[in-house]
Amino acid sequence: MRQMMVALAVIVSSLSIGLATPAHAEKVCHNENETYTDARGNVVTVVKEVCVETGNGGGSGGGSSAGSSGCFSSPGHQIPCTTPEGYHWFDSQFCYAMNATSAYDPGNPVWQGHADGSLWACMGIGPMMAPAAGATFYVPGAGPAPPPVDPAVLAQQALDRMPLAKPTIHMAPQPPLMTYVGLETWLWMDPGQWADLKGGAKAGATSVTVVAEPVQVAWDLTAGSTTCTSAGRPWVKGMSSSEKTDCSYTFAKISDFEPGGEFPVAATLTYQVDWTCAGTCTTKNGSLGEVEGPLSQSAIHVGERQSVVVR
Amino acid sequence: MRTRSFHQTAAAIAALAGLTFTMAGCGADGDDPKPLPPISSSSTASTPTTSPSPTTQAWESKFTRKQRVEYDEALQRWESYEQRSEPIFAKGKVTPAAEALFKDYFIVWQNQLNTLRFYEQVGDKVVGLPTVIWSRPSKVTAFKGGMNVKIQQCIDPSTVKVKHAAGAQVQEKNVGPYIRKISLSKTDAKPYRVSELFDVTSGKKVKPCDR
Repeated sequence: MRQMMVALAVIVSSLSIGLATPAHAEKVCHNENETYTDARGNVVTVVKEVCVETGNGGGSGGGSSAGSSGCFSSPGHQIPCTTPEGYHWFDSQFCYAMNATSAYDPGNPVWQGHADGSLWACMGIGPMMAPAAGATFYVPGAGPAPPPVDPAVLAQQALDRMPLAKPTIHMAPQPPLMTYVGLETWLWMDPGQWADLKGGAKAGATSVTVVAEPVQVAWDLTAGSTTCTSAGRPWVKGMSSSEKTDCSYTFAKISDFEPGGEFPVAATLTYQVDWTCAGTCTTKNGSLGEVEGPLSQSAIHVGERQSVVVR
Repeated sequence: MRTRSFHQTAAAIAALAGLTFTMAGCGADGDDPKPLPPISSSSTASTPTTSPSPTTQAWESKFTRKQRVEYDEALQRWESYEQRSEPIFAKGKVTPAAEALFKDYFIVWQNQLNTLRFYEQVGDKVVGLPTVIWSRPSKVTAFKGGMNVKIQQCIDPSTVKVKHAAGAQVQEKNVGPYIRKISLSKTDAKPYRVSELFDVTSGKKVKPCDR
């Protein structure tokens, strides 16, 4: 036990900041000793590299140590009240424990005859969760609250479920007609696909709303590429040659030497994804940055026009 | 948290006989039956899959037939777990098969998974099983829809070999036979699973068998 106390004292500084979920985290690593008892009863000390993320985020609460400003393994040695895995520190058991309330049937002796409250199981001590007493203990009430959910993680979960658009590729001249070297080929996607998408996710008292706003379409035409900041203007039969579009590409070479005699064409819509949090939030809003939607593919035949010189 | 069971060898049986005196007053806590008389070489000691008992008559008289049946069932589950987990801890790697095994045998299986993960991180490989000198129930209780059996075992950890990674500093403790406590619960829906486990790796002081 004494060796474990020492080991815990050593790890205080690192784990106390390991709970943060900073927006701009930086990983810092250093060596520490960890002491534990092996299966023969020998006391083993290992040196390990502990990496922690530092940044401007706040730590999570919870734990059961007395005192308002954190948890302590011994006087003066602060440790995180909650591990990244969500285990809470219990002074009374000298271990990190997980909520095991749902694991045990009502009436199991570990409930000690109680009909309410919660059960907690020791999971380990130290930064690497060295084995601790395999005890399950009773706590009146619910025990420490679960750590707050990271809204950025929720936002990502919401985004994963959102139907980002796969652009429907349109070109003019429209395949199977060919376009020509030197001719401005109009490019556009279905206008309805250029639209904000909204999604959300909820975990406990934390709700996140995610908005994905289209910002650009990347067109890869094999012979070259272009980026458009709109869906592009649909070409309509009957338009005059003086009509303009903000999304086009002019081929400089023919596609006859490509497989199938065509240039593959691909379009990808990129969204700017931002989120806002409501309820219990560690951060009120944030961004997942620019996120690409699914790739859409087509092809076009590029030829050359015969010109006749008239004198 | 790692544990091992009885080795069925002639040497183990010989050791068992030699420990007869040591086991006379082996460990006691709040759940303990009354002090037991000195052990005699139990016939169960030569049975390959059964842990030897300190003295069959001594504890059997304190339990009903149904309780003894429950104890046997719980003990078999524990021994099954030990045999099946040995190669997992010998390899010292977290695998889906290891996780599935823990889920099968433990109520809070995450504890065993954490232990294995820890061993993997520090590079430990735990080979072999401790010698179970004797086993006995300390409490057998029924609860609504289930049963709970508390088992005490006097085990000798010296038959376990722990291979540490290079650089580990090992302070030899020469822990002799000590009391391991295993609590198992079953319900109508599930077989016996480990509810609690205290052994030398638990971070708490263990009780020698001879005190």
